[in-house]
Amino acid sequence: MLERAVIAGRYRNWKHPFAMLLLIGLLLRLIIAPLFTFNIDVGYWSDVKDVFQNGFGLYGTPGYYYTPVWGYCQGFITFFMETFGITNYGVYIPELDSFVYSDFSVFPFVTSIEFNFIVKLPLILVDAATGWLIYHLVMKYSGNQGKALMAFALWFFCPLVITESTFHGTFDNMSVMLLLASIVLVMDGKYTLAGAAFAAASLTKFFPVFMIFFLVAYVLRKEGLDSNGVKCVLKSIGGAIGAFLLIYLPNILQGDFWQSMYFLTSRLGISREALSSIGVGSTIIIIAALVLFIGLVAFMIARYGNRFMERMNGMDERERNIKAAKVFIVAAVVVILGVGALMILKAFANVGGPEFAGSELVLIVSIFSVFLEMYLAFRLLMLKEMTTEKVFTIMFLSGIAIILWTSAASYTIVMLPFICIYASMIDNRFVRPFIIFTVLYTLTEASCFLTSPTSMIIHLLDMDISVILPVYEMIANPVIFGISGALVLTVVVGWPGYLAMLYISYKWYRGYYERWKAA
Amino acid sequence: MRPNPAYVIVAVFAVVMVLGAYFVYYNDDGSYEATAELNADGTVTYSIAGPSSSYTYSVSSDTKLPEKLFLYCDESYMSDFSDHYIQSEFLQVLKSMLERRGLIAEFADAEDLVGVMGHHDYAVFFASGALPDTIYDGRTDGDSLFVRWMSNGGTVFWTGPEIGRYVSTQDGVVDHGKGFFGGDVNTSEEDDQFAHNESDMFAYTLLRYDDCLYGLRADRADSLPLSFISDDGYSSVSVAKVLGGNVTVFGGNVATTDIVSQVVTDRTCCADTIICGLTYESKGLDHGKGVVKGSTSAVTGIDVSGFSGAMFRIIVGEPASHWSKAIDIVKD
Repeated sequence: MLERAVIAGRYRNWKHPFAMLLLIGLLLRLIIAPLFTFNIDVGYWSDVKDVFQNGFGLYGTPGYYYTPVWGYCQGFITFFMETFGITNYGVYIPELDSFVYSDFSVFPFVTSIEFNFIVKLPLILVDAATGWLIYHLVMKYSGNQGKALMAFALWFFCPLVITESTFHGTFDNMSVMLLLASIVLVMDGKYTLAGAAFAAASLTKFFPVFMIFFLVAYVLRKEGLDSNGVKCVLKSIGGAIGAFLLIYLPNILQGDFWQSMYFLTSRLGISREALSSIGVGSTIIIIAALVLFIGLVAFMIARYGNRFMERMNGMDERERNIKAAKVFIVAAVVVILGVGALMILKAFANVGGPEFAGSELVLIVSIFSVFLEMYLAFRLLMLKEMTTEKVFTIMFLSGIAIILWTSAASYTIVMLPFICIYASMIDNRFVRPFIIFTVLYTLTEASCFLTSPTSMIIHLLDMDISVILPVYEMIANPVIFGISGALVLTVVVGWPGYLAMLYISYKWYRGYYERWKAA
Repeated sequence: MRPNPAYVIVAVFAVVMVLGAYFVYYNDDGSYEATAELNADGTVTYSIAGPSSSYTYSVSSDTKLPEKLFLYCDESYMSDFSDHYIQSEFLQVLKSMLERRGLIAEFADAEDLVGVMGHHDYAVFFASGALPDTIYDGRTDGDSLFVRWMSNGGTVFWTGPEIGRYVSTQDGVVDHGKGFFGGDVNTSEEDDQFAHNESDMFAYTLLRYDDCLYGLRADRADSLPLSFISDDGYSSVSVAKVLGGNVTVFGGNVATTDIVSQVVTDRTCCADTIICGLTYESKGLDHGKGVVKGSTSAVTGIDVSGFSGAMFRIIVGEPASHWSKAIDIVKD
């Protein structure tokens, strides 16, 4: 009798709308994943395993340049494949070679149906886990299941989310999942674990690091800008160090730690050769400087934090916020001008004449993002009352401030949960802009969608590459003013997509401004 | 009580990291063993044991494995072709790949090469794009150590501009206008120098090496294309007769780049080519493929007993190999 009741209970659980949505979303992904794939990254993952299977770990030879997290996942997947005897990775298609260095970059290896499935399966599960976190967070802080389901559905059925995990096979969603886990843990007061999750998120892909200001401000606002608050932040730092060691210990032991930082440092123009030359002495100096800096900041907060808060609280709120905004803007401008001047000097020092790259513009915008994040953290710290609405609004703004530059579609994934949560929990007028923005960004991958059936054509339908080669040619060859079809498609859809992304911030600011004016 | 998803996620993540790191750094994935024996009917019985993976095998004739292989690298000698840092990194990787495949290679500088040239059973890999002036004077018909060594049957593995054209000194690189191939190499300056037409030997070598800048003309006499041929007739990997010896030419920038795309595949191709000892006279006799499942044993289908210098070769893994072995099955 009891057994029957338990089974009935389980059955009812599966009829729970969350379970139903989860099941539909998973089925959709599991059908798409093996058949349709963006060649460039999934093909490259097949190459990555060759690096460690040849005994070079992850960085012993060029071939893998991301941080170790995804490399270990690849190790786990390969272990799984070997254990279950999955040996067909795909076929080499030399006809694709001519597209390798085109605007529409491809990999000349067409992965097999089973390889596509196995590699994307963890990413699909990560989508689900992130959805679960979103549901949990909204449910806990709104107590409204309808809102929680809406937030979950916005994430789990978002075309951009499905595209990046299920078609593209890229691991950006893993850092999003870990970032959200760290937010959930911080809000639960589990600071050590939160620090570990946040470090893992930032070491998977760099973008979550922007949220550090929000998280630290949250802890200090909740626990006090004093020695208690500092103790909680130090607990998080301890957790972060633990996660760092868990991830990097093998690299430290193998002596390729700095090589593993190439993905991050290459954005700053630091070469592989320069990284290799960093010795143990320099590493110790860098660590000592970091410890000293953290110690100094912790001491200052513990000693003068309360006095600072008293002074801030004694000021008129509006006046204080305007003053703070001015300080952050001036500081941002000074830093940007300094970095910009250095960049110009470096560009003109180039032997072949001045050379500017888009990555430098991205760096400038990122500096602005950092100061914006700092200002938002300041506002969080100064909140008189930590209401759900205010905290989640600042979280939403911090989330979208991570990526203010025109990034690749996969990078924008990091901001999506914050918009989903805000739109379902605080203001549902943001649902439509969210959908428009994500649909447009999904369309920036149009050229990849057009070639995504290649695996199916070669491996399932057993047809020749010539069937789909004209599509590759159409996309890779110039169509107008020497610009390739791929680039035209990306620009035509990408800019409206970017504007739609900016519109979300604008829409929030307009509402805020109107309320402010009315007050 | 409902589980907090954050706990579950952090726990699963930690387990994946630990197991993944173990597999990447400490699991010896190269622990394969292979044997091959000639049967009375001329077929070959081979066996392979190791972790699950796909494999291909081939049998070729007229092969010659060098007694010793030297990797030339000398920072004091100029190279216009490749940075010493990248060159040295490439050769270190190659050395490690060769060791994994059972061939121990040694580094040699310009002075060491003088001693190496005394043994015509030795081989040298040059990634410098130029021969040092300790062994070569720039005259292909001269009497330098290198010319004499090649005339006696020396073996060279080469990547870079035409062999013999450039001579490297401690002060610079001297261009002598022509090399041992008389200009039969691809010097087109177009960006995409890829070959995708399979050569006759491709089915036997399965070398997925497609870059053919500086590649040899595929129709050159006394040469054997081993991988792909471009539409305009250049081979990505060829072994050719030079004087009395063999020069294997790898096209493209395998030794000059650290751009990730294809680097591992190209480098494993170099290692696999070296260990199978193909010469310009080699012929493909038999080939096939299968899957390693713990321990696998099979018999090839063709009588190879009548061929001299027959070599059985097995390659494990794809798209790049992660283990390979060449076994002499018919001794002369």
